[in-house]
Amino acid sequence: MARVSLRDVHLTFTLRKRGSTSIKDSVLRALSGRPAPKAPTVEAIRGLDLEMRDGDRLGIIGHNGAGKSSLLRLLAGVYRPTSGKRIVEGRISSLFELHLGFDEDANGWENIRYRGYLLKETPASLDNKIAEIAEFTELGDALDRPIRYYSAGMLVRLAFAISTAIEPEVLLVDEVLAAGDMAFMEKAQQRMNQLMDRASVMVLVSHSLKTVEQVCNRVLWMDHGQAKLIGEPSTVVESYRNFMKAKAMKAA
Amino acid sequence: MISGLKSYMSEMWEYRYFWTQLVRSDLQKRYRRSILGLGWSLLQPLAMTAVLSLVYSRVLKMDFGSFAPMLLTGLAFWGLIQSSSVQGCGCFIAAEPFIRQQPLPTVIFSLRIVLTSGFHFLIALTLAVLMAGTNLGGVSPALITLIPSLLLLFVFAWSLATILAYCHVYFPDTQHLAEVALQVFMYLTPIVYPPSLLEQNGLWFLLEFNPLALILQLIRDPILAGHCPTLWAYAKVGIFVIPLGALAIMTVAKLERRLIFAM
Repeated sequence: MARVSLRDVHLTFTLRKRGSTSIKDSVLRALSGRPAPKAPTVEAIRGLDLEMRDGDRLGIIGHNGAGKSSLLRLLAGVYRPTSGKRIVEGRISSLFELHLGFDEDANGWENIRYRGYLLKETPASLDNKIAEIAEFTELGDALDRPIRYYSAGMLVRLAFAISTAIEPEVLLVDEVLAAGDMAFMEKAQQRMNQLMDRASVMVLVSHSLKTVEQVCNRVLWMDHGQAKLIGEPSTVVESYRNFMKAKAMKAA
Repeated sequence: MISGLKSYMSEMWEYRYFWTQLVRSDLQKRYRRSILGLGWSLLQPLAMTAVLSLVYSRVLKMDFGSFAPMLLTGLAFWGLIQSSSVQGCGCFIAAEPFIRQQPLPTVIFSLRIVLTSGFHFLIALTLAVLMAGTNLGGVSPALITLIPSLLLLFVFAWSLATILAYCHVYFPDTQHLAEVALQVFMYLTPIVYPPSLLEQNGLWFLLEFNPLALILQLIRDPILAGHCPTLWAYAKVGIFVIPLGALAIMTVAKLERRLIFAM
């Protein structure tokens, strides 16, 4: 049984450039008694509530920087909420940025293993699936090459094939599908439909309103880290369209 | 605290296939495209041992046969400490694609470094044991004490790598500092010279208060002299290793959830 629940979740990032704090600075600051300069913060998610059960397919839409991807990572457990409660029950499988969860220097086969083991598969259970995964990717001999030589489309095929082969209970997808070609998109769509039939929870972040309307049975419109609207796909997508149109008119 | 540690360990166990695969690939990558294969992990310590033994046995008037295994144990040990610290610093950065993908127990990435270097260390150590064995004329039962000694070394190296990995994410100068510290300790520790040299010259405290020298002695005693280290020798190592281990656990407990925000 899969379940996703968020209660009044906030996520605040403290911006710090990697490498901006040196030991020297810290020691000098401690000696001089000067307080550390306050780092700027960004509130990526501000008080979000969400409740999903088996069979729910949630689409998330909104402009760039609305907090969609942050929300997805929060659901995956990569980011812990700054405050509020996150409950996710069920095996999570996520498709984020293309290179995540892969070792660039390893070949396709090895990366199938890495991903599989990350999804808590065993060597034996993976042996059973590996041929099917390889076939689904249609990558053929390319699987023997290090994935640093893969195109974006090839990476999508690989990532999607693995992440969906293990029958996740909670599937989190961040826009990556767009990098696949038409033939693969259709195939992926079918696989998605199958997965959904098996009553798992899916969350899809997408800028393609058409995809969201087709695939999802609920849509969340995010705006500045908050839920602007949540409900029936047609209704939410419609209001989002109108909002964007109005905004474009204003700008013009 | 205990239950937290237990659930953490079981989580590590659930990902066992993942991190063992990482270690396996690391080793394969090193050997796959090379003619010497496994020989590579021996080449560096062996070449150093040969050269230094030749020179030192003349200069210090040491017996070549006993000097060579002493050097080889020292160099093998040092190789492990060095790669655990230096590669430990970068182990989270190297694992970023995995850390950003899903929540994982972070210590598996420092473990990966220690296990990979530990593999090379064990090969060189085996050779040193064989070398010393031919000198001493047989295998000593005292070698059994290597089991607890190597376990202590493992805990030491893993803790060190974990602490440095966290430090490096927050303070990127850590690796440079670690490299300097390693160089200093390389000379303060009887790696390429016998410990007796320090004792004879009134520098005994460099042996007594240096955890690296203490651990190395635990390993060398049974291999080179064929006698068991005293319980007191183990206790002295424990005085350093246990707090270091505790510090590593505290670091992980405090910072693991926030690591992603610092990367």
